[in-house]
Amino acid sequence: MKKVKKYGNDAIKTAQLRSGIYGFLAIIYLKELSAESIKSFKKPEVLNNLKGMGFNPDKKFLNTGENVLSGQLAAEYNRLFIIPPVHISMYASVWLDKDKILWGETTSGIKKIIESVGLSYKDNWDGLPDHIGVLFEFMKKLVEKETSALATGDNKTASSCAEYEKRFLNEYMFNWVRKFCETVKKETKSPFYREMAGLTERFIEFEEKEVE
Amino acid sequence: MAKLNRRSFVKLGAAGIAFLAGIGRADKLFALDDEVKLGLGGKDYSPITQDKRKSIPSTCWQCPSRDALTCYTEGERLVKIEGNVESNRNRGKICSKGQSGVNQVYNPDRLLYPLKRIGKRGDGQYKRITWDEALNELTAALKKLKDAGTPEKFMLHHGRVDGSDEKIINNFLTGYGTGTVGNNTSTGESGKWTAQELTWGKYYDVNDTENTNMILNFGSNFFEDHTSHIQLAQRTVEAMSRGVKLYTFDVRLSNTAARSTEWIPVKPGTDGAIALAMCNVILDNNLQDDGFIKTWTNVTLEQLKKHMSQYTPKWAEQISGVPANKIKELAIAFAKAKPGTIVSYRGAVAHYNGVQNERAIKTLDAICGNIDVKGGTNHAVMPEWKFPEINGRVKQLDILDGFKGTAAFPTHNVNNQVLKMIKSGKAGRPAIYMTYLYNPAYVNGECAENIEILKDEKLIPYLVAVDFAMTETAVLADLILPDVTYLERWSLEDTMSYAMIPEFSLRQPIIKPLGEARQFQDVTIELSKRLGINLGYDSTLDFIKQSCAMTKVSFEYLKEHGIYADPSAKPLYKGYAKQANYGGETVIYDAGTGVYWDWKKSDAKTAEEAAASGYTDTKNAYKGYKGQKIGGLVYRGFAPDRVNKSGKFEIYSGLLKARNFEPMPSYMPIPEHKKMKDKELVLTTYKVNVQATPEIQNCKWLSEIYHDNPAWINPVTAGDLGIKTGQKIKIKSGVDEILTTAKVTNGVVPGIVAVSQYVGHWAYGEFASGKKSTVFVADVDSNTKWWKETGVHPNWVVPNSPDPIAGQQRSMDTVVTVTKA
Ligand code: SF4
Repeated sequence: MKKVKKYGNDAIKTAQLRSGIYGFLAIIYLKELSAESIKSFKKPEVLNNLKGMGFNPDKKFLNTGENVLSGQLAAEYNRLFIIPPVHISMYASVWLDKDKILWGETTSGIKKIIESVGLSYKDNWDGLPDHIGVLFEFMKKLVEKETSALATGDNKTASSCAEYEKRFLNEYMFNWVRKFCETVKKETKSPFYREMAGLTERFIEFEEKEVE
Repeated sequence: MAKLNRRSFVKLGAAGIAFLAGIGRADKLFALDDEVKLGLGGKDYSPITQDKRKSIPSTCWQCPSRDALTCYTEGERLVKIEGNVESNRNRGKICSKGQSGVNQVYNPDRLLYPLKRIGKRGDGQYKRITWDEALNELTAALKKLKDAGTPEKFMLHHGRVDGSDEKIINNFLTGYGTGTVGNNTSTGESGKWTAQELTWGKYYDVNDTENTNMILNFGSNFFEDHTSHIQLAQRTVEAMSRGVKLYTFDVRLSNTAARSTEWIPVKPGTDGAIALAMCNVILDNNLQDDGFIKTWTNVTLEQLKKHMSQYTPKWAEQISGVPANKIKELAIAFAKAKPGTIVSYRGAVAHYNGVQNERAIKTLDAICGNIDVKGGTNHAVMPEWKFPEINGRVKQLDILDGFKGTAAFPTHNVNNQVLKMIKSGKAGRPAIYMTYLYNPAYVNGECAENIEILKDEKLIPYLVAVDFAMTETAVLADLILPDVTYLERWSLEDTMSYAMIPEFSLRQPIIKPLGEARQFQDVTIELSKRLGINLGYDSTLDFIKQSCAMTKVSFEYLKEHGIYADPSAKPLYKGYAKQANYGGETVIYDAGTGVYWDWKKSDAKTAEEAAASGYTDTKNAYKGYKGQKIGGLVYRGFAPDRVNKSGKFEIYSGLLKARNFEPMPSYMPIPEHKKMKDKELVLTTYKVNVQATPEIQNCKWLSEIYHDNPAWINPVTAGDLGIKTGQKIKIKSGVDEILTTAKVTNGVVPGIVAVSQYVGHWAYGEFASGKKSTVFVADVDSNTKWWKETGVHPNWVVPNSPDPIAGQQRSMDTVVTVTKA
């Protein structure tokens, strides 16, 4: 098994940050954002950190109330991902399988890996198993496990987690998520989703380098 | 778009954490439940009862790759086989053969009881006997030989057997006193291994395609079949998805060639010429790795340049048919890839010139600096089990390496010549010839002669077959002992890992053995007891537990997980550059080679004798190899195995020179191909994914997919011969002829006829041979079987002809005529 990868000197801190980012991205993509999520997004600890890395929310975004914003972003989410003609697929199999279908080989592969580590899909999850948000969430869970293993000095489990992460990223994420982000950036009319796609892209590129 | 750096990563992470914390019940927004628990293995449910199936990890054995499995049972029945996600080797994936293991277990044609011949040999008349009767008979026969002081007249000839399975058998044979033990390596790839032993030391290579930048492939159909099929195929697919290019040289558009960046058709047996010309181009353009050549090889750059200057791309084009420009273009790209890696297999090595081809290929890798580096071509890393060991002197009939002068370095024996040796009788004959998971009637060339010899009671007085199926050899045997299938047995496995981290693996019974099938290792332990041989363990399981304790690998852990790899281990690269421990009172220095060696481990009687004859000329000196002096230091180097090479990467082989072969990697024309007459073709054999080993045609799921193998012929050649697709044809060689149908296709080069191996059984069971078992009832699927074809076996026409260096069976050299039948 591979050695635990380290981003800088503090493996635990790094793992915490990574699981935070994966969790954040999962919420951004899993569903339309709720008013509560948007409220949290607008907290200074979130916004200031994002601003520090080049995210520039416009005044309209800052000044519109969460409920209204939630509706506006939901409309854009639906236009981008749910309704034809734009309809950018959020499912890995459509990007990765030769016949570009839903519930393809990739879907089964992802579902199998997720379930093989003891996780299950919630009954109320109505998307397919290989939704981009699920992929981020799965990574969040793996990195969380790695974090707790590192914290207790369980290097074997931490290594196993790192190995799973590496395999999952290589096999099911690095090969399409950036293309997905590019497409979103091109198609979206919303500065918010453009920024989020940009952040996702930058983060995935960063992960790819680190994993290598 | 600004790239994310560590600073912005920290900010994004902090934002993410704060965002999640700010949502009251963030968990409600997620899609997944539960915690990550590693080491669970897969989960599976019965589609009928919805009950959770029991999962048991084990190790596959449908082919030599030995992938890690998760097997599922419902009640007492094996219902499904998947890959073990914990393995660093196959990483949760297996092939269709692996999944079809279920068919092996529940195949009604399998052997379940000991059988004794009652009719004439070969008539197929048997009676069921008890194990006690069978073992009494065998013990009496063995005892007779031992008491007469001729234990070597008991020959055990086994097929694919490794790890603890092999060790337990060898312990029994050593305890008994026979060294007449055959294997099956020369059928497949001994030329490749011997070439490696002569060049870089211990055999088995790993192509680290996961981390490479370019892949050349000489004659390997590894997307369908390979010693490490799943490990290599999945890593190559991943590499290709990140843009790595794969170029396949092959006489046939195999599925691997078809999935490559480019298929480069070649004439049969000319791979070496291409590799040599690539070396020429690289040296000509000064793209070589000077450091590696200077420090680690035993030639100078000047010598190398001078030698390779004769092998120009134009010359190679004439020999191989590959355009000189293509050779140049790929050679330059490969040298610049840093690292690149070269896969090679039977297409390159199952020839008269196979050893030299492989040496040329390894040299090409070496001069590009690809040896034992991340992304390069590496010595395999394998787990090292410690097994209980029986020592003792054994006697041996001199029939394992072929006739005198057959092969200069038969380091893996010459198994295809054993029956011919028995026929000739010049070196004696075994009184008991026992086959274990080995089917010489079918796997050797010249099937008709094999059958004739095996049938002849004067040549082989007592033929015993141990197998799980009624093979073409078993149907001729006097006594048949039913072995368990691999899904009912205990073994420790030791296969290589492409993660470059050794992984220990266990094969454990998924179900209780059916009928009276018994694991042969337990049978040898029982025979030992009856013969008074003290082994120190009383069952296979006992042996395995002792081995685990000796190796310090937890048996309980293996039972639960199937595999174990040290979590703190790092991938092993550049092992040769590590400094060696070369101390010891009996260690001496050989100035000629720069090797430190322990003469006590060789056949030399005294230090003086060792010093006088020197490292190279002392028998078994390689066993005492300690290190190679380079500059002022001593390194592990390219440690030898089976031959007395030095610790350098030997581009120049003094050992070959001493046996009158060209010492530098060179092109050896194939004599028969030089003398070919008009209308003669070269027969190429190949393997397809679902029929890649001789033992699986009776798996009905696989036979349903592939059960017929028309011969592939290029339209130009077919036009010359007046042959069309679907026509019945006769393929005739100097030894025999076969009938099949033609498939005219541009998927093969002109001048050859290609026939796949490992269908065309004439025994084994209904799905393999079309013949229902004479002994047992048929499968329920007999009624739904919609195909009648069973294919044709090419080995009837392939001579048992070994290459002159390793003794590898030349499966790719046969000259044939093809005519309308
Ligand atoms: S490649 Fe061989 S070992 Fe692996 S699953 Fe297939 S048959 Fe089994």
